[in-house]
Amino acid sequence: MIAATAAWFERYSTRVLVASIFVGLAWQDLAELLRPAVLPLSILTMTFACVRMDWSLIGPHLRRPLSLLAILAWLLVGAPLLVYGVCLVLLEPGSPLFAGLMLNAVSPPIMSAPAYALIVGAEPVQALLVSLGGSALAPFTGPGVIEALGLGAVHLSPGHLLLRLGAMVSVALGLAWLIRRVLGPARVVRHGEKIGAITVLLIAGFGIGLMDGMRGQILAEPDLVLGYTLAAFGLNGGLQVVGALLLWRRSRAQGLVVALVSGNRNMSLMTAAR
Amino acid sequence: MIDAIGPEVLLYLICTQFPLFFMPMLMRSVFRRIATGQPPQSISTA
Repeated sequence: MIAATAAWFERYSTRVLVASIFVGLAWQDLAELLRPAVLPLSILTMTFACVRMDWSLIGPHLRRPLSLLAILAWLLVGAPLLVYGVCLVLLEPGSPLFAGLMLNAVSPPIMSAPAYALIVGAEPVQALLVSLGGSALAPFTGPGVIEALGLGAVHLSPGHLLLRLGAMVSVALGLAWLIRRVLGPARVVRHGEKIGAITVLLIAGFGIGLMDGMRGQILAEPDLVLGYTLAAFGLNGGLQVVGALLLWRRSRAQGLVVALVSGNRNMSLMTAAR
Repeated sequence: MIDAIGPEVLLYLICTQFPLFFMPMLMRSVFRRIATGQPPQSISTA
């Protein structure tokens, strides 16, 4: 019964993620309840994704730092410059959407990138390393790129953000290591679908929590929310396509990871900016 | 212009969360086809 349920969640994981958004919008009390749990859910998502991935692949990736650095350079500098160029053509420079798109483009990849990689069939270890590297560098590169382009100033506290990131990653990876140690590699493989199902449920809980208050926003300004959502889809999809094409000829597998982390960015860094 | 993140910019940042939940459904079959050269399992066994 449990195995069948887990297999169902794995099989329909992408639909469960979509459903979580509608559940959150429809059931605002639940969204309000889960809102404070968004950060712990995000950490646990990373934990369970890391339980399932092959840790022995971390070393070989770290022994090729140039490849990792090139991907980070694209994510944190190249992509924002590309988005800036497109925005200059399409939008009024002083508009809120222009500012939002630029903040989106300079943000680091999502912390749950390894979980998303497992869901869509990309390489989770590289997604983890790029996500961690991007999260560590973005508090410096994000404000730097924004200021270099003359778009103003983003007031972040890099030291505080790095401490927070360090604490989150330590908890996530420490828990993952402990779970792998207790279960052992064979049982991790045997219970892979169950671990995958837990990961999907954690992301779904995260999605429901994010929708706290969103129904009111949609009802108050439906056109604006629709326009901004379409712009967000455009940026996400556009950066995924460009990211994949950059590495298409070298390695399609790596291109998929770069696509994933190029489009899906962690906005909590910028919402912390004042 | 980004000196202060106003309510409209914040609204856009919140809207960026929608693709995180919809894109996997839209992209998974493409990703799996590219990664393996085969149709995704969800299609071949459906």
